Amino acid sequence: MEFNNYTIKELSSLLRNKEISAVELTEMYLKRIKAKDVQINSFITVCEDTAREMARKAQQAIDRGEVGQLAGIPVSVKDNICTTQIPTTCASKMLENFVSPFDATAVDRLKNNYAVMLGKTNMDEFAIGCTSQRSVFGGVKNPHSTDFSPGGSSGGAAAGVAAGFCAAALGSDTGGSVRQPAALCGVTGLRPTYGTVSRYGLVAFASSFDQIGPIARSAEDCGILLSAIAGKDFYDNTTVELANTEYNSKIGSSIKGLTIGVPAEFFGEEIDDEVKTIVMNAAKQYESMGCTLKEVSLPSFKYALSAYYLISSAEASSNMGRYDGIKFGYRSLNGDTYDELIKNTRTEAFGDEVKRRIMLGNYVLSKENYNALFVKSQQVRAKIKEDFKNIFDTCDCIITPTTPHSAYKIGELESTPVKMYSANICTVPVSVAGLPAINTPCGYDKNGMPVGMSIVGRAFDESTIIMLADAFERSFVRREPAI
Amino acid sequence: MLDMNVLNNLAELSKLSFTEEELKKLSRELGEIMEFVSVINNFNEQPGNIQKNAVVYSQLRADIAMESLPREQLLENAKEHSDTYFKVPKVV
Amino acid sequence: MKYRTVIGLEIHAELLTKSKAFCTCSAEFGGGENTKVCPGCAGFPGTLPIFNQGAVTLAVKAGLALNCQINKYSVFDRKNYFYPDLPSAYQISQYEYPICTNGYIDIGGKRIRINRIHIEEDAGKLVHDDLEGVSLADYNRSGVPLIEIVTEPDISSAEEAREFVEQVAQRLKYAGVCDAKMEEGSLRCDVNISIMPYDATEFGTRTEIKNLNSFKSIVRAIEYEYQRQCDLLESGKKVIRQTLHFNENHGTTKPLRSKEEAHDYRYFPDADIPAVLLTDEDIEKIKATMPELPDSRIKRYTEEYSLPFADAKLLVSEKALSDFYDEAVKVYPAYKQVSNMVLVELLRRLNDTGASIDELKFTPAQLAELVKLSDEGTVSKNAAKDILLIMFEQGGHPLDIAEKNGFIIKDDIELIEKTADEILAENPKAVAEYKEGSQKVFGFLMGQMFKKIGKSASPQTVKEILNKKLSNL
Ligand SMILES: [Mg+2]
Ligand SMILES: [Zn+2]
Repeated sequence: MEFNNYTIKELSSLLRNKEISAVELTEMYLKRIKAKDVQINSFITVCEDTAREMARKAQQAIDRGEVGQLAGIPVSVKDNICTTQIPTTCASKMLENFVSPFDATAVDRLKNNYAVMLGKTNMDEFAIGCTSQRSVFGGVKNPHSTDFSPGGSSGGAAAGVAAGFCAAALGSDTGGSVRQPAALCGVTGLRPTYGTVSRYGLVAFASSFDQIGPIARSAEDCGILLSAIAGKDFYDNTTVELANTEYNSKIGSSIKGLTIGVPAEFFGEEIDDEVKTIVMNAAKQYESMGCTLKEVSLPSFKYALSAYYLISSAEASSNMGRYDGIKFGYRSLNGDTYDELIKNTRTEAFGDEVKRRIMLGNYVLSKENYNALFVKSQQVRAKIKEDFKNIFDTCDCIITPTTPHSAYKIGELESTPVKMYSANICTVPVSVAGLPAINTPCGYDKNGMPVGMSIVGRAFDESTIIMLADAFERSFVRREPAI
Repeated sequence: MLDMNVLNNLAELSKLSFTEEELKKLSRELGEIMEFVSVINNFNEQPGNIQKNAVVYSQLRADIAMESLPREQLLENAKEHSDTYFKVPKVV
Repeated sequence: MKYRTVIGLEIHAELLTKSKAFCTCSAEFGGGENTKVCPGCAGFPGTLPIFNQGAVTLAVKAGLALNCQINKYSVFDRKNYFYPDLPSAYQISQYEYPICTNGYIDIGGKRIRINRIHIEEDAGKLVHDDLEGVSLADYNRSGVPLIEIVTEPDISSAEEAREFVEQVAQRLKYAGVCDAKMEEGSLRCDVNISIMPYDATEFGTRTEIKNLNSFKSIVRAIEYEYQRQCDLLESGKKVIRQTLHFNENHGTTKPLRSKEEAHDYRYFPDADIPAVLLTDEDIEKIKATMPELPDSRIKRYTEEYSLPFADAKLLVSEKALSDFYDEAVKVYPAYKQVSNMVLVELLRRLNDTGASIDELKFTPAQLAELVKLSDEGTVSKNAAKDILLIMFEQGGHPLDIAEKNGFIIKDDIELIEKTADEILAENPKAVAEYKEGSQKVFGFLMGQMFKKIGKSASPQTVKEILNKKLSNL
């Protein structure tokens, strides 16, 4: 019997009913990774021994009967989230051998819930990218068709869940890095409201956008993971005290009478017609479930990508300064002076896209450009927040396509940076506003590749978008990749 | 296209070295990006208080000292170190 | 002198918090290299600054001590540059929205304006190993909270600069903000200096002398740099805007780096740290914990207590001393007498032994009691000094000590007269000299008297009796 297509909820009940042990389940997943991940390359590190040890402990906890739904569930962690004992590489030559002295808060909380970590997943270097091809360990392939990119930067996480290598995954989302690969791999992925999940232990890309988010086989599973990792953390001053972290509390409630905003700008000419049709049909299904669709507008939409790339690159350029070869990570063998050493170290160990963003970020922050680019972008950001707030005055949530196109062929997007940046046109505005959004698959294109829709919620109202995604998922039939 | 002087200065600020070839490519790409983002020049609104929107206020921690990281663990990831120090080439 | 000096100061003061500014490592000075370091203050990936409330409180106190406006909204920024003592390649500082602005202090009737005070973090320390040709990095100081106090260019001489820094140091110590030990580096000073002809209206080109760590260096560096700039202008050359290092041994300044323009710190708000929001109540609460500052104490001492200005200044030179004095005069408000005992006798003992006020074995009330015993004639002034010495060495109550050592003045007339007779008999030569008009020997005879009877007799009585006996001879 194989359980690789089971949800956390289903696996949890099997474990509880002693139909399978946590150790058996872990072995089953490890075996599948070993057999099939050569095709996908979704893992950078598979930590078999620690996974088995965690499974044993989880089983003991299950036997004591004192555990929640995550106990014994095999999960993966994106390789930019710090773990003790197991390397955290960020898919970069820079951190190839780096082992963090501490666990990220999210990992710590997973461990407290007796989840079993199978390994660390592949990604774009330092989470900068949207194709998961910019990894020093090689690119990730889409399980639905290996000619295609899985999206990114959490491509390994999404592909791993889609391929049944783990029941769920922790990814990270800056401009769409959870939602976009989830959409392109046909799984569910959630970006929480900024401040919900501690960033302690998440290697920083763009500090004012970064959030850890779950990727799983259902909205409900995302809710289970999020409930475990969310909440105020001493080690992250930007986390918020949350009244309620039971994110699945609304699941199954009636969605009748809810108003769903459909912002015209997200269905403009940049969006592929097939995608538009599939997402609009999904929206109409909510109508048939008793919701009201309302056409709304986000006038600042056209500035969002620019503001995002300018601010996030500025933040990244500063966050990347710590990689100098002195305290940790790669150190060039050449360089007699400090200046030479750090230049050589950084030049040899950073990939092209990371270098490009550092250069762009320093350009944005330079004296001459700071006001015109950085300050202006912050003003745009404030306006985007205002625009979303206006929509939420009359709507309970917003539906948008997650991506302007279904999956791209590997290498297709890399031709020019601008083309690549545009792949996040639908996810970036939500990141800029710091709002929560969940991607759930809602159809397949002519090639059979998945298409996803995003349900965007009010700040800290994850339970509503989880409820809505769940309501849709109940009647939507997912196609399992034939791997 | 971005000016070569500007690029060289950026490379220095970034502590990155590039070949002539790479610099030319970067000049073109950064130029394209700047053109792409130039749409924000059309944005001329003055929304509410930006700074106050941009930060989340949280209770600050009390001034209490706690254990630091054991030194061996701190130095473990450094490629070059003595028993007690990180090693750096001479600063010029 | 053709040129006048224009000086602005940047004073860095380490805050007396227990933990660092953005992590929970100890901020205490000293300890083995890299033993007060965590992933956070070593700039490890995945770490975030967790800001210390204590740093806010102390920075506000500094602002109050320096007459600043306390800003209810302040923001942290990143100052980006690479240096091996800066693990994350950016220093967390405040740029556009500092916590305090628009302060001043008056020195000798002149107002020196303070532009701003902002909070920032210290960097680590580099030790240079010339033998191996490497530098060694110790991050114990990395992340220790500092305030930077920036003045307007209102200072016009080396002496004024020294006086200003002294005043700032004293106020910070009073407010418990900083221990201001220049030799340990807890107070450091950068000097911006330019010169201009007296009739000119525009400032000259300034240079910045970095990291002066003693009052003496501040004065010497300014004097040297003034002369250097004068010489340049006199010989038709120009002053170049640059950053200088002051060499203590040679007493000269040298450029640190020449490409000042190449430095673009790319300040921008640090998204990891929430803005500091203060309410009126927060500020009032902090204000309530502020001690009375030195200038106010001097005013009180001179105007209300009628102490000479020099005495008042000496009393406030150290907060503990002034606090001790204030406690003592609460018990016995003989301001001048208590002040004398503190400034002459107590300070002498402290200077002799190198002890500090906090280590005293007796209380201010006990010192007050001692002064009172002396004033009321219960013990002689000389005995009081001896009692203080005993209190200093062993502690104890002055009256007990006086009794135990026979210092209480009893004035046993019979005994004194008997002793006087003995002394006069034993010293015929001295008596003869006295008769011939030498007043000097009277003192000698008095001394002989006290040697015999000890301190239980008052000098008055002894003098009277001795006089009587001598005139009767
Ligand atoms: Mg500074
Ligand atoms: Zn620390």
